[in-house]
Amino acid sequence: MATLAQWKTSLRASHSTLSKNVDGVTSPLSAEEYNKTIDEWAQASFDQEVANNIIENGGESANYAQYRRDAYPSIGDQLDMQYKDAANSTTTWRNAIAAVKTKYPKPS
Amino acid sequence: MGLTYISSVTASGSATLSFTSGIDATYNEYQFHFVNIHAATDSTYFGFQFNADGASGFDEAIISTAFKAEHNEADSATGFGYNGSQDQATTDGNGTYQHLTYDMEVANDEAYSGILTLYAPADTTFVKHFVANGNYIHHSGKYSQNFFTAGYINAEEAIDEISFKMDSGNIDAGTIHMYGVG
Repeated sequence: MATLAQWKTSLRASHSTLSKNVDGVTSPLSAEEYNKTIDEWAQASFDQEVANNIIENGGESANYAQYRRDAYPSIGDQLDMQYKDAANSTTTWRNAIAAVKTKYPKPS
Repeated sequence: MGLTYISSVTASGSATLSFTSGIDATYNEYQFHFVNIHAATDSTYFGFQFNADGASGFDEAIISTAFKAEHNEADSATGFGYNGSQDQATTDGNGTYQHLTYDMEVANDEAYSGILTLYAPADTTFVKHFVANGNYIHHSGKYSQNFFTAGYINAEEAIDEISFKMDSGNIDAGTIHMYGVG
């Protein structure tokens, strides 16, 4: 993963100038606007890369609840798991939920 | 009631798109129609912010909610739920761009389209409400995502400017049309 500084360097290299469109008129960003935009883009890219890495590989995050919600099986699938667990004395549902909680632990 | 066309902005590798005129007391309701807003960078978010009369910086306080429904191209998964990472409850000067999308994909045939409605921006008694709904392709797994957000700008001052941008990277292409409703 790139560091925040590496993101800034990369974005400056790939965007030597930036423009805006205000009321239909295009003009270049001022130096202040340019620096602010590059800083914001770098921070957003860095944060997104960290988030994507956690979503894919798991790990602690303040957004663990959102990641868990996205990863849990649908309610229908969970009910199906619970029915089959009750009929077959298995632990499929419990294991599936535990796997999500383990992948995205609540920060201590 | 009908729509009256006011103006448009078209992206062409633009960092921001803004309307700084035309939002006033003429109409009690304004609509912004997004047509094929295409990001230059994968896995980014498209959003908007406001300026109150005389203010700058596009950082008004916003209190908002967000939720989305989704269905993938493979027809093997669906989802629906509140999107807690895309809402905000901020204070004046600290508001961030309110997202109109979750995590967007940017293949050549993928873009965002939708409508944002802003109510009574020139009112100086009440906070200013907005409601938006649009559709795009989620960056992971080819999901059609229908994203809803609504909220209010926590300001009694009139709102007269609006800005749109991606969290990261340019708005590669797309047009926003502004209409008055009345």
